[in-house]
Parts: sequence; structure tokens; C-alpha cells
Amino acid sequence: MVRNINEITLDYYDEVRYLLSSELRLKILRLLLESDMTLDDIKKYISKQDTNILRTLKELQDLNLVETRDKTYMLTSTGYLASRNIMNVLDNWRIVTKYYRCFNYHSFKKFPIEYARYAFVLDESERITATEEDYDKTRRLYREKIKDATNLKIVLPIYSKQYFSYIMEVLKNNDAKLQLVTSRNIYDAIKNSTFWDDFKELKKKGNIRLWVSEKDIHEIYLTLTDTYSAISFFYQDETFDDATFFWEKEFKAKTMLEHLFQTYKHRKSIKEII
Amino acid sequence: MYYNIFQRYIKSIQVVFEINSIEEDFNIIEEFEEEIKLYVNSDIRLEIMTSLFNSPSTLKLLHKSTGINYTSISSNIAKLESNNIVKKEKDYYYMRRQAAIKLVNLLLLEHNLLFLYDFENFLNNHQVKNDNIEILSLLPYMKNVDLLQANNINPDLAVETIQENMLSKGSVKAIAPMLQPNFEEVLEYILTHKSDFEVITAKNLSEYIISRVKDNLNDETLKCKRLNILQANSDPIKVSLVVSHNKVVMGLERREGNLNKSCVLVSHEELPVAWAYNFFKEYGCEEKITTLEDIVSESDGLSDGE
Repeated sequence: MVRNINEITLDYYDEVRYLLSSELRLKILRLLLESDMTLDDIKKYISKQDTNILRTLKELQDLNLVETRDKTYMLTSTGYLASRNIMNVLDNWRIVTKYYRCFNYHSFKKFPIEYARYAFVLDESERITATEEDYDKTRRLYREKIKDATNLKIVLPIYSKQYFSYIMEVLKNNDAKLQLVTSRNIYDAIKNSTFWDDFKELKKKGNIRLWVSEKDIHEIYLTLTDTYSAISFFYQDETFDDATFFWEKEFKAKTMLEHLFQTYKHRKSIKEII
Repeated sequence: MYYNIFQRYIKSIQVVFEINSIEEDFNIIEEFEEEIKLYVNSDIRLEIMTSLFNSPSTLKLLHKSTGINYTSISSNIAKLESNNIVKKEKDYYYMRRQAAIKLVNLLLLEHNLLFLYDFENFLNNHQVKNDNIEILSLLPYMKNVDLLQANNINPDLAVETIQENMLSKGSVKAIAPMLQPNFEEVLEYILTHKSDFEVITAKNLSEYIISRVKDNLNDETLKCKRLNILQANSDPIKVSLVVSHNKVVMGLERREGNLNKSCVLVSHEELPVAWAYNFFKEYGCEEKITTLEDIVSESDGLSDGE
């Protein structure tokens, strides 16, 4: 986990600078990610002079990112991984620009720095907020979306009786399984709540697996069901923002949201409670 | 009629969108090229940004902490301010959050590239391409990665490293394109200890492992908490991987198409370990899973019938 930006700062950023400051290099890497190509294939997408394209290809070959066989250009293994990671960063760039308000207004102080690479998951989501006429809008929708789940994965940073009752309802009605990541103070609140007997029972039955951090380190309310997903954040003053990002059944970033959940589970400061 | 035209219009957009994902990416490249240059093209700006990322600061304080001359700081910070990367409140400059996230993405990408260049001799002689595995586009921040190479002093180094990690405590996940030389020992260890082991193998191998588990079932010694045997998702890259809570060991297939049994990448760091758990998750097919309980109940059923 990266806690401080000083851990990842370097004296030079020559590699990023070299690849990212040229539109042509980026475009060629992107094209070769699609398939191996000859110069003629490349020219179908890029209207630059041959000499320009050939020079850029030569530069990428010198870096061992591209290789050539029978006049066909292809990515090497490092070229392939570099291109995919560059495209991920560009995708994050686009999403952070698109949702800049969300990022500027919410608190990410307790987020490990490397989660910045997951910014793109917000794409394809729909942000739902409560309105003056309909204060319960997001909660009602949350309840609706998780209602049919048989598998739930949740990072829980708040103890809200209302939200928690929805979760318990699903577990009991559907005999659903829950993987829960939370912090000690929230776990204590559950213990002192009216849900505790049911919770204990479900955990004993194997329906609930629980991971707890000693410190209050979670600034994200992340819910994954078999189909739908939801995320909410905290404001800068560390109060919970009820506005929720929802994802529909099929979306591109689903696997990545799963990964985000897994990275919470596998953080060193978090232990499974058996 | 208008409705029909509208429908056709929507359809045409969708089709174009699908075919032109290259074009879409080209648009992103074109749209953000100038902004990215603003971040990466100046060491001074990068230093100012990382400094402000840590804490808001005044021009004077920045001058003191970075040692960069005053005029250069003020001209660069004016550029950052006019491009919404920093904002000024009273005399203090703050890094905007959205800019901070972009900056971190670039710094982590630099580390990714350095890792790839460090290991290019190994990587470029091996296969890694697989468009179905999304986590390949999200390499972790890696430091302290070692390439262990078997040699004539220890020809089994890689195999031993893999096996040792298989016997670790806690949750262990493995992708096994072939059986370990000491497979029987490993299996016995797993079954007789409080292990939590999941393995992905090819279909024929998983059938063999299941039959060997059956032969080894013995109520007195069975202590294993979890043993799952999964099949790989269709057409995966061929890797061997073992990840335990504090170590990841990974071997790759040579370009010629055979698994390199004498060379593995090893890391003890938290982020590569978490990444490897995710890699395992994407690699396996959860629908094609055989659990220890399945095997036990099947063999119970057989002995009841006798």
C-alpha cells in the first residue's frame, strides 16, 4: 500500500514523458494493441507522412516495445503491457475530467494512493442523489437493487441502521452469502445493535465472512451484488454523502470493481475474523 | 415515422461506437495530449505538484522546500493555476484533487514502465498477451521483484520456490499448468493440515487430482479447511502462479510455446500479492469448480452403495 506520494516520486520521469508527449507514439501503440499491422495498415488510421510513421516505429523498436517480421509490426511483451497500462491511464484521465466534481468534493484522504488507477470504474455509472421532495430516494433504490442478490460483497464504512437492515433482509430472505470488509468501530456498533443475534447466527452458518481493520480507514461504501454495484463517498468534512453511483447489470468495469473489493480484503492491516 | 428515424439514428451510433473504439481512443489521445504535456514536460512543475500534493504551500515556502528559484516557481505555478491544476486561497496554493489523481496515475505509470524495461529480456522472450484478462492493464506498483533463475548449482530452484509457497499458511491460490514433481507430498500436506488451497488446472489434470484426493481421503487425517479445484476460463495464457498472503511466484511460457520451468518472478510485497490474487480470480472459471466437500460426498455415496 502506498501511503505517501514520496514513496513513488522519482528524480526523473523520462519514460512516461517520452511515450506520452507524442501523439503519434501513442496512436501507434494503440493501433498495434488492436492487431499486428503493416505500414499500409497503419496509414489507414493515421494520415501522416511515411517518414514520420517509420521514424516513430523505429523509436519504439529501439525501446523493444515493437518488433517487426516480414514488414509487419507487432508489440513485444513489454510493448503489449506498456500499451495496455498507458490506455488505462488515459481512460482514468478521461473519467477524472468527466467526474471532476466528484473527485474535488469528496474526501480520499484514507485511500491508498494507488487506488487512483481505479478511477475509470466510475464510467458507465449513474449518480443518484436524494432530492428535497424525495429524501429516501437513494436508500430506496439501494434496497431495490440488492433485493435479489445471492452474493454480496461490501466495504462498509458507516453503521446506518437503515442500510444495515436492508443487508440483513437480503441475507435472511435469499439465504445469501456476504463478504464484509469493515473497521473495528463499525463492527462494535453491529455487536451492540439489534441485528447482532442474527448476524452471529449467519456467520456461524457460513453465510457471512468478515474482515476487520483496527483503524477507521474506509472512505468508501462499496456494494457488489451478482448483478448490480454501488459506491458512495464521504465529503471533505468526513460526513457521509448519501449520493450513490449505481451500475446496471452489464458494464465494462465490473471485473475491476471486483478487484477493487479484493484489494480491500487483502490489505495487510485487515484481518479475517473467524 | 420520426420515431423510426430516431431508432435508426440510435442504432447507427451504437454500431459506429463499437467499430471505432480505435477512433474513440484516438479522440482521447488528441483531447488530452496538451494537458498531459503540461504535467510531464517539466521537472520543475512535477516537483511543485508533488510538493503541493503533500501539503498546501505559499510561493515562499515552495521556494524554501524545493530550492527552485522564485521566478521559475511563480511562472510555473501561474501556468498550473490557469489550467485548474492548483487553486489559490489567500496566499496558499492547493493541488486540486482531480489533478492529484491524474498526477498519481502518471507516477505509477512511470514505475510500471521502469519495471517492464528492467525485465524486458525475460518478458520479451515469454508470452504475456491476453486481451481477456483486464488486470493486465493495471500492473501494480512493484518494487523488490526478483527473477529467480535455476542454475547448475541449484537446478530445481524455481520448482522448489513454487512448492515452498504452495505449503504456506493461510489462503493459497495456484495456477498449475502441470503437476509438481513432488505432487504427492504436496497433496498429502494440504489434506493433513489446516490448509486453504485453490488450484486452477486443465481438465485432464483436475480429473487426475480429484482421483488422487479420493484415494487419500482418510477421516483421521483430513484437516484441510478448503480445497477447490477449478478449471481455467477458455483460452488463457499459460502461466504458473502461486500466491500466498506474503509471497507471489510466477512463471511464464516461452515464445516457442513451452512453460519455462527454470525461471520465476518472485515478490514479497503487498501490492504484487494483491494483484496476483486478482489475476487468479480473473483466470479461473467459478462455474467449473470442484470442492473438497464434493469429492468427500461423492466418495461417501459410493461406499454407501457397496
